[in-house]
Amino acid sequence: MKKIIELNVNGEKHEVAVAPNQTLLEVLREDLHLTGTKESCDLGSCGSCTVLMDGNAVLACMILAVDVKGKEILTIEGLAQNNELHPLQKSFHEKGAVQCGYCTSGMIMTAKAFLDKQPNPTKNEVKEAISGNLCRCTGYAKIVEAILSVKQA
Amino acid sequence: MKQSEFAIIGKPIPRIDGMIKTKGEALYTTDISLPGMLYGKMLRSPYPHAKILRIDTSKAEKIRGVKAVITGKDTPDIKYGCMMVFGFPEASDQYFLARDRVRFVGDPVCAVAATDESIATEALEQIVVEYEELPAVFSIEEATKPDAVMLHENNPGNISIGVAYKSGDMEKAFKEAYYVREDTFNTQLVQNCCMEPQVCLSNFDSSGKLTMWSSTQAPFLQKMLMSAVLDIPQENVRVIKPHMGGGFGAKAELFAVHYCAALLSRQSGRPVLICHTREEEFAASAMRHPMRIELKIGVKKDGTIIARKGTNWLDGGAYNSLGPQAAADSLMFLSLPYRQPNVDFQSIRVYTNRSPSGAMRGLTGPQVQLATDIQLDIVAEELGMDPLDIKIKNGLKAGDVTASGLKMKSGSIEECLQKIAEESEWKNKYGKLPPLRGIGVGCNSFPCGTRVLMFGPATALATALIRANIDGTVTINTGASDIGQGSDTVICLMTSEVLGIKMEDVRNMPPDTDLSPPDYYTASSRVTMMVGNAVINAATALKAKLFEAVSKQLEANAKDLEAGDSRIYVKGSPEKGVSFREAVEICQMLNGGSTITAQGNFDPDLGPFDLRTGEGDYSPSYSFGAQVAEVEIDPDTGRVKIERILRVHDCGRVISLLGAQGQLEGSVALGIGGALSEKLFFEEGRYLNPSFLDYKFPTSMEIPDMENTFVESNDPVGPFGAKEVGEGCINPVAPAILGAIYNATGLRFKELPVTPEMILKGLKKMKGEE
Amino acid sequence: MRLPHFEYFEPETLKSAVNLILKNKESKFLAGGTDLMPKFKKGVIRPEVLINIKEITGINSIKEEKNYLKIGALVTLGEIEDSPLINQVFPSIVEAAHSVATQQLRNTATLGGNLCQDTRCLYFDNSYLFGQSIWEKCFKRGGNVCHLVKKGKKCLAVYSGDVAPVLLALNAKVQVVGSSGKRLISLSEIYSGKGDNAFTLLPEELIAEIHVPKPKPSSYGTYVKFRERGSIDFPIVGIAAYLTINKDTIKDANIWLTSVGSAPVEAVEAESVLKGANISTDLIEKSANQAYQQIAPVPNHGYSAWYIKEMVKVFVKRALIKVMENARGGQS
Ligand SMILES: Cc1cc2nc3c(=O)[nH]c(=O)nc-3n(C[C@H](O)[C@H](O)[C@H](O)COP(=O)(O)OP(=O)(O)OC[C@H]3O[C@@H](n4cnc5c(N)ncnc54)[C@H](O)[C@@H]3O)c2cc1C
Ligand code: SF4
Repeated sequence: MKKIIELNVNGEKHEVAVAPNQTLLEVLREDLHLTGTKESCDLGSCGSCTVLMDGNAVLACMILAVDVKGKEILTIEGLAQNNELHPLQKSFHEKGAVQCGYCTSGMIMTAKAFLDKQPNPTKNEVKEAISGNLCRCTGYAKIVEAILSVKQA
Repeated sequence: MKQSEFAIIGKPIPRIDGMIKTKGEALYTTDISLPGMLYGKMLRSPYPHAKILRIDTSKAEKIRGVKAVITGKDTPDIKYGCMMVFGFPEASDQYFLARDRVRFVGDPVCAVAATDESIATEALEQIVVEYEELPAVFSIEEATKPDAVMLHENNPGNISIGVAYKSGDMEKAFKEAYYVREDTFNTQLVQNCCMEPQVCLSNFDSSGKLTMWSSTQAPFLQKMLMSAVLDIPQENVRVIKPHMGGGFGAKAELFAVHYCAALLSRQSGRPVLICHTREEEFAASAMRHPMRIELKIGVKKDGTIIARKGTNWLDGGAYNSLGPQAAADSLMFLSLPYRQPNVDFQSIRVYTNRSPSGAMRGLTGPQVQLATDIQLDIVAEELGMDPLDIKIKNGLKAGDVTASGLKMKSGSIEECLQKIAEESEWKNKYGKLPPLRGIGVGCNSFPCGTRVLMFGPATALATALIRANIDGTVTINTGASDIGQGSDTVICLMTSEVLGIKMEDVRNMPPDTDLSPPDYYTASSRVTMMVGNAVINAATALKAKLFEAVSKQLEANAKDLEAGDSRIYVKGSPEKGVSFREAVEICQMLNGGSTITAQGNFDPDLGPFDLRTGEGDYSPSYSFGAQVAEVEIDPDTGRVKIERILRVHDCGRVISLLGAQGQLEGSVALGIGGALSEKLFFEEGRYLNPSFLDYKFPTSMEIPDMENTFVESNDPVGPFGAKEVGEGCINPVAPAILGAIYNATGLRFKELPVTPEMILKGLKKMKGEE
Repeated sequence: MRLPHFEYFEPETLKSAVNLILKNKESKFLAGGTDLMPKFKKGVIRPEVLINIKEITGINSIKEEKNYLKIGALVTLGEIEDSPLINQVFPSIVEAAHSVATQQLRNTATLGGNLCQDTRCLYFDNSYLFGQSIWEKCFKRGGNVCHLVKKGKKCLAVYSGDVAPVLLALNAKVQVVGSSGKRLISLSEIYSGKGDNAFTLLPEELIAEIHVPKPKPSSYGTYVKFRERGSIDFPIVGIAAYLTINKDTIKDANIWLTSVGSAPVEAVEAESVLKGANISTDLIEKSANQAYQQIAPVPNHGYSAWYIKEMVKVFVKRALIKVMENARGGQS
């Protein structure tokens, strides 16, 4: 049985009919057509589906959509404000931190939640912060660099 | 040409699709949905080897929302082999939907399409398949026993493919050698682990046209293969490649995903999307071939190699996949990167009841290089030499031709090693580090694209079409797939450099087999070399047309014109010129209003080459590289801490600086996983850890600081002198690390991965505690 | 991977949660879902009803009582990491919570769920769709064989939670709510030691609160985790050690291990050599050796029993050294 719930995503309220067995990831991608959040392992081990829930980085594949009502969700699509790239988006692009891009959304969302809490991290802290986001292309080097450069900015 | 002569080449220019990827806007295959789209799923064999006795899909068909169910009987009786279109029809051995027999756990048996994924999954559970289990073989050793069960009727001894090359007088050479030794090396199964699994969206319309949105490294190959296995005209297949979440080799051919999506779409009359789950990706997507490598080497007293015998055993899994290529490549890698006057090489690929091995970054290179480099390390030690010196002594260099005919055209192993010796302070460190710390070195040379004639001799190795647009931009169309590595950016950089326009003014057309010129595939590190050259030629031809057109207006000879800063002007007097946009306009006017286009190709005469024997020059050119790893071993846990990794890579010329660095860094990370942690537990034909939780591919915490240095040897064939940078760098990672482990501990490993447990056992044994 | 259909409830009181389970046979409590969801998606478990307990009021906060700290079962591991109170009073709980999985998972994973997470086994955790489906059902799937130990008589799946050992070393109690009301029991009592049925709790019973007695003066502790990668991974072995030290004499010692059996294991022998003894390198060595002798690990998560046993010795030693260092630095 589907149930109508109100989802607050990227500052916008949506009424969505969701079945209990739908994850937040499915609803974001399939019902709200926010396909920037990616599904890679779907079992909580890779970080590709990271979104922010009330400011905390969480995995959309591990959360039931029905369980999200009343919470604020921020996805990669909601990061840029007034067409202005978020500093992380800018630095990921400029520093070459993007290759295939499949992990990028999750990586940036994780980094955003982290920098919000810890605006001046060390390199090791950055490495630890993104260690729940797997990337097979970059060897993480440029990702770490991109996040560090935002801190300095 | 010196670096400074370039306007844009070699600079840290961000990739063209970076911005939209950071915004989550780039569309990948699973992001696309079509009206009425169905979700497909496959039922896979739970047995490693079995006869299919009966399939009953009736219950599944009745479920509400199920729109199509297919089994092998609904498919044309045509066997697939990736190289069926490369002149290897005999290597076709696979039904994508099993007809009467399954050969690995995960071999697809049925496929369903339904209105949503849960229904499709439910339907699979309602399908009844009766099997009769057959004996199975799980390793090269088991498969090659005289009484082993045969996987395929026409392949006695379970030999899927064999290739061999021999040259010189081995017997004499070994007799004359000062020192001869034999070693055997073993490498493991490694999963590509693309973050985006195999996925395809297919729409088969009633006119008979099949359109596939496919995450593929090889749109044209997929088109040809699909037409062959479905027995439909090639031009009825259109493959479009959306943005892609990695390939690494896994997506260089056709899989059941593509085949079933097409057939389900034909049956249901609706578009069908099939995407592997992560578990299916482990169970059925291409893996790196596990290999057993037997090497015999003969050297002079000073370490010069005079003879080498090598046998590569490749564990191929249940089907050929691109086996002929893998076998041939492994033969070629035995010839690189050291000079060997007398050789006797063979590669034998064996069938086992496991998911088919296919391509993964370096295609057999990492395995063979491990053996080659570690054996040389051992020889050096026996002769009292420094391993770096013996590698310098034997390394190939420009002008060398290997016994089988590979021609080195630029650069050398020596230059890479000298540089890395300096940067790593090798001489101050090798043998001088405190206990449990060590340093090791590995080398590589890698082809810049193979010369496989998928389209036949009448088609060039690469073609580029270019069009000047009236707004002063140009559109370049090559058919090459950017799989995440950044080749679209390289193509745009080159176009921009030749035409002297801004990179933002170059539009790259993603491959679409209906619109793009034919391209082979993104594999064997060919795109920069082959497509890059075609791009330069196309842009140069376009430039000539524009020069010709504006020369009248500028009252100058076309020869004296130059393009730069988005203008075309007289050399030496930049004020005498027109903007690029104006030039296009003038040119169109002079040509009766027609659009200005040009094309370029790459088809050098490289002499004969035979994939079946490995004889001839495999590639237009070869990169060189060296890598040094410094490690520290925790003697209590056996854990390896990689302190740093240095890379020197001769890629001829850096085209995209960020891209090239990214290739090195990514290769090193992949190499570290393969060397130390990535391991699939395999029991009775099943993988026990098919997940990102239990298959340990490196996180950010496992990757050390990496230092990259490029050597720019300015290759005579390469575009702007460039060679490959995408794959070669993975080959030396494992040997450098294993060499460093030996240097730190005295433990010599000849297999992968080297786990902490193996090191701890070794250390205890040395101390006499075991 | 899509979840099959199920019924879903969001009770707001403990009582209705308990009643819902009593009414629905194949039902399960859902907290953060980070342990449950992967298994559910793979079809390893098939609950027909999920009872989301996160709306239950009153069990999601951290409170300081006179002699103990009260942590609601719904408190997430992320909240524990960020709690100034826990950081101050029980830094080792923070160490343990911080070592779990990844930041994203910790932000939703609850403490209750962590304590009650299912035991693990590579032969069990795979999808039921193919491969596994033809293997004879093992004990944990309700059958009569074990694939890990071929002629084994019982399930040896491993409990791998990171936080339990610390709480056990601190003698934490849990408040369990069931059909007959509330009871406060020692945390150790909830672990049955059986791989296939790891908890003594009845299906309808749930943990509401965790009570952690405040440390005695001069007691110091730590949690040390050894895992393959620096993130994501469960422990190969995890060790919590708490010592009460007076001058140079150890008054009391509590050492608990995780990932070495179907329940957290108390290293009793290792503790007993420490109690009453004077701190020395030899003593630490001796204690670690005792742990090594006692523990009989199960090789079911990718490492041999030999290796895990060796690591027990190494990490008990490292944990004890770290506690001594904490003691010297005055950090409890
Ligand atoms: C990739 C990955 C890595 C992981 N790594 C680690 C790790 O390193 N260390 C580690 O310890 N864990 C790890 N986990 C497991 C899991 O994330 C944690 O155990 C987590 O704390 C579970 O909490 P939860 O709230 O998500 O539990 P849930 O999944 O909601 O519940 C787990 C179980 O406990 C029961 N339950 C939940 N709350 C209660 C309660 N209050 N009373 C009674 N029963 C209850 C549920 O019914 C269920 O059976 C990992 C998980 C994943 C997916
Ligand atoms: S240990 Fe338990 S879960 Fe693992 S195979 Fe044996 S019975 Fe099954």
